Amino acid sequence: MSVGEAVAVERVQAALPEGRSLGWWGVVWTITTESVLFALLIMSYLFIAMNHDHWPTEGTHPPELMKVGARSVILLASSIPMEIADKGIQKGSQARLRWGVAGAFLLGLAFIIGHFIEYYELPFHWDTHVYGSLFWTITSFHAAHLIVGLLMLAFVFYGAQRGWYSRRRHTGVKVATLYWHFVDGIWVVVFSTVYLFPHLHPLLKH
Amino acid sequence: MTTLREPAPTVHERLEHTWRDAPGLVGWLTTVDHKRIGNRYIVTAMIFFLLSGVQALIMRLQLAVPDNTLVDPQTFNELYTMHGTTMIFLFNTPIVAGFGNYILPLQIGTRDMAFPRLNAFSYWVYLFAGIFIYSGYLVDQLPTAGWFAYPPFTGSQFSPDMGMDFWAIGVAFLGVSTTVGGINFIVTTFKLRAPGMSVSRLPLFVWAFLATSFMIVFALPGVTLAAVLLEFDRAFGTHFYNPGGGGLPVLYQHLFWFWGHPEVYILFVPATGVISMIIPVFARRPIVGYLAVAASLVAIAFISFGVWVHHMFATGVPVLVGSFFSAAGLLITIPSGVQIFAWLATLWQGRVRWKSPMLFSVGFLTVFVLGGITGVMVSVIAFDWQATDTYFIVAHFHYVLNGGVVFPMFAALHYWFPKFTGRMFNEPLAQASFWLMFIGFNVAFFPQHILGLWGMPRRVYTYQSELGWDGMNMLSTIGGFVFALGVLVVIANFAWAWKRGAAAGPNPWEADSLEWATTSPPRDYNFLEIPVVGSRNPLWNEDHREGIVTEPEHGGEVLAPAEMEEETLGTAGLDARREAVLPMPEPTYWPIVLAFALTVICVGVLLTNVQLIALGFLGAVGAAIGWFQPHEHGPEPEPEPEQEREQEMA
Repeated sequence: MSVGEAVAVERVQAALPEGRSLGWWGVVWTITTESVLFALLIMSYLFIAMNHDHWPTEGTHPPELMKVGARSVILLASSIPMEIADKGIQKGSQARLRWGVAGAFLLGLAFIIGHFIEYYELPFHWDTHVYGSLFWTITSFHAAHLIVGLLMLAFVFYGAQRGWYSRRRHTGVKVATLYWHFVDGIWVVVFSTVYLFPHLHPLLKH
Repeated sequence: MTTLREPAPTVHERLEHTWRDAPGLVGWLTTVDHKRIGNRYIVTAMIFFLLSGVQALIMRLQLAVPDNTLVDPQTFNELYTMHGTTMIFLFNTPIVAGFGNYILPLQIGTRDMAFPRLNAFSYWVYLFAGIFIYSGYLVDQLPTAGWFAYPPFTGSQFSPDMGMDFWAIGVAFLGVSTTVGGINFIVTTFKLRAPGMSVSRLPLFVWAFLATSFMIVFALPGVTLAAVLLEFDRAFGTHFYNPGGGGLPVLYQHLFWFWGHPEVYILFVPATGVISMIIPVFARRPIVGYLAVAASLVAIAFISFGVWVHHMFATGVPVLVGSFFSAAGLLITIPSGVQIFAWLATLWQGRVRWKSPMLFSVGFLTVFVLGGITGVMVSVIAFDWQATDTYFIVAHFHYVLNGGVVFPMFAALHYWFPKFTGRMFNEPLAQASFWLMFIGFNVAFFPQHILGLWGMPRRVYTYQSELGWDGMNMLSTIGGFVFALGVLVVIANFAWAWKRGAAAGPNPWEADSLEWATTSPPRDYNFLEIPVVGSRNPLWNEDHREGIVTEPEHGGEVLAPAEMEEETLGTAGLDARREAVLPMPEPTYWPIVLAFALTVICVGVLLTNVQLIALGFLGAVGAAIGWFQPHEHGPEPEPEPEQEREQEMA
């Protein structure tokens, strides 16, 4: 059969889309490059911190851990409803999708509100000293990612209400889920560096 | 299948209708066709190449004679900063992306990139970021700190005007374009290869883009962060690079070169991919050592991350650290050398046709080997301390970048011009332009090695006659103008050929890869059938010396559904087995809207205007919502058979 004579051809259509979707691959590589960005921020933090005899710079206390610890638990917990939503829609459950996304959104919102309250109470700013610059920049980079994540969740929730997702089509949910897990996971690294490390610095330096 | 036999042109017409852009301006703004986007990348990059060339010629005129007063020192600083910035950020990286965009989907036998809208978006970001960086000319506030913009000189204390802001914001913004482009190439190569195109049959051009894209994903955040923190220091008073506030200027250098050295390979590796396509075609035999070349590309991608500190030997890094990076710098010459010997062996064993793409390729080989040798010299710390910041370095990186990227890109332009336009250029004229460029280049830059060893520092706007540098500088200037003449001849040749060249036909070079299996220029949908690949050189017979096959094996998917949906075939695994029919997006305005909204944010940061930033952010959110809205007339989900559900539960 020559190409010119090609006749109507039946489409190859798998019963369920097999394998990872393009969206899955796209978001995985996005997460990879964003992770490098955070890794470089963390390395910058440690590089500058280890060049100081006192860290935080003199006159500033290491960050207080109780409130941020509670917020961290909230943020990490938000991955659970998100996972429920993702697994739910893979089995066709619209209810689990909606409740899961809504739960994750509210927990994330609680975290970010606490975050802004912390900013408001901080005794130093980004232009006070390099410790302040690093603290504000790294935490606000994370907050910016979290806000993007919240917008994605809001979008998925809206889509779920409109019935966009089903057992066959749920790439959008998958993308939001992976990104949300990334934002949660990277917080562990940010928390360890920005909040815990200043308490360890004297041990490392002396 | 029905017994009713449809008339022959139907499939073609249906594809034509499905994949066509709207006519006129609407189509121009909304297209997501990788070929149109690739063309745009190439044309835009060439315009920046010409601008950058004019800047270089003005500098050469200034340096032609001692104590010259053609330009003042401030202007000279602006010239070399904009020249370097343009060549690295606005010419080299984008033109490579342009060829990748146009050729890579054709070469792997698919109908578009994995994310066509993202592809359009990355072009618009490139264009807007380029205009942003150049708009410093409108207010006459330009960066003067060289293309790598080291603080503390680039801090607001020493560079108070907006020139550095244009640079820092523009470079960070441009990073968005490069990053999403890299991700797009990776996913396209992973998922959209034609059935049967296993990793061992992947064209080396595609291997090169894969290696490059990995480097982009891992390295690019370095320059983005370096530029963003610089802008924070300038605009918001942070202290990252400010020793007065406890910061460290050398942090910038680490971040910058963490990207900067892989960047050399990000530019050079795709260029080697081009050479690895062209040399076998004109030597009329498959490449020698395919596996070794592919492995070298991957090795370069890894080792390139161990090289960055060698740009900083003069900053006083500890000896052990210096030794490690010095060793890595020497190590990376091995995979580069493997490729060069593979090309030489291919030439040796082939029957070479000396056409213009081949001339540019061999020109690349000679020039690049010289640049590589001086590269080994400067990776030796003791020598680097002597040569750093002299014209020796200027000569070195022009041999590497002009030799390693510009010559291959001109080889690529000549090689694929018939595919892009469907017409042939004038071959004797093309060969003349090669000789002008090759001779001009060497006359311009070889004397600079000597000038450097004589002690002429880079970035000086003039020099005294007593120093004895007059003759070499004059020679260098003459060479620069000969090179420029060569470029003009290329442009004239292409302009003439575009209108009046002879028809090229699908495969004028009798090449082996899939982009030559379709018409020139390719139709909107690339291939009538998604080809099925059975060998490493799909268009060559087993006895490749006997000629070429005009069509790849048949039996591929046509994918021209009656609903007029854009579709292509998704494959998986190392052996590229059929996996799914993938719907492809339609033309859309959202990519340009999103890119524009982000540009508004950049302008807001430039003017430290919070309202503008907020406006841009809202625009971006709106554009993203519009973008990800599923389109209405998609096929309805089918009822779900019961046994599948059980399988999933198990």
